[in-house]
Amino acid sequence: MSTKEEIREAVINGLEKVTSKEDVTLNDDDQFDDYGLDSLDRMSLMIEVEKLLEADFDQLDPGQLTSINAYIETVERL
Amino acid sequence: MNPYGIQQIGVFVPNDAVDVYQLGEKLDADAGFIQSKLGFDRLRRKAAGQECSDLCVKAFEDLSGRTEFDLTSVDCVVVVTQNPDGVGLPHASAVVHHKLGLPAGIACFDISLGCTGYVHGLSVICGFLQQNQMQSGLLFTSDPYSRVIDMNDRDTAMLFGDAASCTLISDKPAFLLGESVFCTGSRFSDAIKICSDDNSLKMHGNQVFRFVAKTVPKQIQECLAKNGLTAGYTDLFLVHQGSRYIVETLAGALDLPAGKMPFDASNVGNTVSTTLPLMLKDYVPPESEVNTVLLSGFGVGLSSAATVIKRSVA
Repeated sequence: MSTKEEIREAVINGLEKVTSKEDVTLNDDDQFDDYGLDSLDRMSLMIEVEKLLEADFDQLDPGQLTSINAYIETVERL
Repeated sequence: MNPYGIQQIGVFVPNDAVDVYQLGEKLDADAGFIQSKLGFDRLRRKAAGQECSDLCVKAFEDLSGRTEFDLTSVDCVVVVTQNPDGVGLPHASAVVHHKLGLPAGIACFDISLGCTGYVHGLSVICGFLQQNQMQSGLLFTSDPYSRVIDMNDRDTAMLFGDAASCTLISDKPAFLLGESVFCTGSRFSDAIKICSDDNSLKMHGNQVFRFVAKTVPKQIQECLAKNGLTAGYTDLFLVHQGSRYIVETLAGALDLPAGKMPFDASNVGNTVSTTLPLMLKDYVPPESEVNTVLLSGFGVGLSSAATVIKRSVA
């Protein structure tokens, strides 16, 4: 089971890869929409986080994963 | 070793086209999204009244202009399509056979596949020719999705174009077929389907993207290993032109240098099973110096398939 810090780091790393931006800083409550992610970006982010955490979100709608907190809650439920 | 392979490819791309950006304005689609994610400027459209078989005939005419071959040496005709003439009975390949005036002693059959159809088709026809000790065959792809697209559906209207190909498969190939790998994720088969209410194509883009992003990179690596290759020793990776974003995603996942996995469908659209032969015709003409090409198709099923073609030393 990944820790909150591991999840946070995976999401940040995923966001940096998807947005091609370096040094992304994000609070746990900040919404990804503020980064201008479209639906494909959100799916790519979810796939990247799955890879980094060795998790499987199966058919979860990435539109539900709108913040770091949402990822933490989801991973903790797996 | 199967001695059959690709001798030459003919294609047909209609002149008529839909402007994707104009269409996008009507569908309230962001131009930046169209450019960076979809990647299509124009979607080709067959003429009204043209059927799958008519596009095949056009592709055959192009093939005939590129290479001399004896029509009497053709032993089989295979058409890859899920949008055959009429309702599909008789099969499209029989209609093509008639329109080309081919002699009777020829096997004709269709393969009902979408974007993986060319990779499957290569295996099927090469195996068929070898098993029956035949001389040559014609592998067509012709899947005019304009028949089934709802132009008000934002999920599908800005993606698909019409085109056709005709590949001459013979025992005098320019490229031999290697070993192929296949995958069917039928659990997700509903992600691309014809809706029975209005007979239009419905696609759950995110599900398809997820399947492709998670399945295809591993499959490509498996295919390379099966054929004794590495990415470094493979000259070109031609993947189904589903969208600019999926091609870029796959290239990134495989860490390929720029240009090794091109996206080149901006001017035609996603032409389903024709995307791969269209690229082969342009990127790997028989006289080119490219020796080893990986082909990867993915889509309806959901399915994915990969193979390698290698230049024949003969």
